[in-house]
Amino acid sequence: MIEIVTMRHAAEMEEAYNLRHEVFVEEKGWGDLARPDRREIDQFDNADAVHMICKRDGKVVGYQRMLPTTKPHLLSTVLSTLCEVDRPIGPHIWEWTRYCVSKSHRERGRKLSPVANELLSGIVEWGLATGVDRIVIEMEPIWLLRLVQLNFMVTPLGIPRQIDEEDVVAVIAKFDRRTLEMLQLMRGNTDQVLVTPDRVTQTGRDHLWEAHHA
Amino acid sequence: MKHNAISEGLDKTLSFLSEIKQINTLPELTTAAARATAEYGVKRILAGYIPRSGMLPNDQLRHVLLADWPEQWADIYFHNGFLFHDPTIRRVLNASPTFSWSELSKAPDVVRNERLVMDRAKDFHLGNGCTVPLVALDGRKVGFSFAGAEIDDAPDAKGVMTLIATFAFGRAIELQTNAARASAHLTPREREVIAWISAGKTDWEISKILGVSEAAIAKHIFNVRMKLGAMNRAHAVAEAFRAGLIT
Repeated sequence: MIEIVTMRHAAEMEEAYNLRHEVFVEEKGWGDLARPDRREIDQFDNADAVHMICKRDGKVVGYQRMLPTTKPHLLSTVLSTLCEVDRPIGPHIWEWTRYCVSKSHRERGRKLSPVANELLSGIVEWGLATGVDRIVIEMEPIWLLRLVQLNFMVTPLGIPRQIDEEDVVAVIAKFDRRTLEMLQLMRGNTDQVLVTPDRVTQTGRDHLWEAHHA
Repeated sequence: MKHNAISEGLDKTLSFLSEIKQINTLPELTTAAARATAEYGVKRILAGYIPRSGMLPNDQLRHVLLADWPEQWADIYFHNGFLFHDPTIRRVLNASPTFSWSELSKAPDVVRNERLVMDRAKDFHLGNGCTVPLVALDGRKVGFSFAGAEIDDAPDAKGVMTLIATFAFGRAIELQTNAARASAHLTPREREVIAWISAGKTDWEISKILGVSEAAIAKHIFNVRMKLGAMNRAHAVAEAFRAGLIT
């Protein structure tokens, strides 16, 4: 299950920052994100960010952050060189950042893990409910094929570049019902993964309600 | 809106991306990928899943999706088990970033057998190349190689080849899956196994019910997955229902 959390969920946010530290600072070695308190926090963890977490046995084991492209985000600031075309901006386009799954919940042999599937399903469900239909991603090119196979319609915004000895490419990925269907097929069920009485999804449910009764 | 200049490489990639939507066969896709990278010196393409070590030549060939390599070289390569002494394969299995073969020949970890394979390749004007490692959704490793006598391996060229490889292979999987599903036929035993899985039985339980080994059950499930282009068991069951192969 995926929950959308805000600063009001202090304990969960704390765990999320710790997980980010483990994955991005310790594992991936992004040294400039390191902080002595082992919480990985940056300038984009502000009121506009949407944080999604996945818990197992009460512990946060998966995390991702959505940033509105109408406000400063990675592609408009620190990673702007990755975009060669007009920067995609709009209320229906959000940037997907800091996606991570705890080492303990990854599959052997780089298969898509259940936690990873839920996180991706969470984006699609959230998007379908709130009118978001595309995400901007900066990622290692080796994972692109996976998105294509999941029925994300991927368009590169530039060619891959080397940043801090890692290949990175910026893409925009459009998704729809077929994306969700593929994720559900792989999960083996059609259960909704997103559960939260938060403002964002509440608006989403109202949209869904209207859509069903239109 | 402020933006950087669009590079020739991105332009090329975007045209390729729209072109392949109209392509419906694997050979045409191979030709398109070679044409899109011709200006980097690419003459030949070979792309496929990496077989497990020790697999027989014919099974190895089934892992290839896109290829226009000289037949004679393919023959030599597969029948001599060169795949298992090919230094590019080792890097693909490690999921390293896109690399050129020239950086490989300077690498200190390349052993004698591997040098032999690279030397033989030169006889077929496949002396140079660039290999793009990819990871498929089911975790299988994919190697996508562009080869020619002289290959441009500047960062921009490698970047474009990385993208072309990704989109070409994505489309190749889609075409292959569609074709496989259209002609999918499950054996009675395979139908039985899938039906038990959908009833929630484990491999061990099914093996007891049918009186065969657990390994045999796993093999049946793997074959069904391949026939239906399914990423995992749950997906195989769902596809089997959808195709009306089980009820």
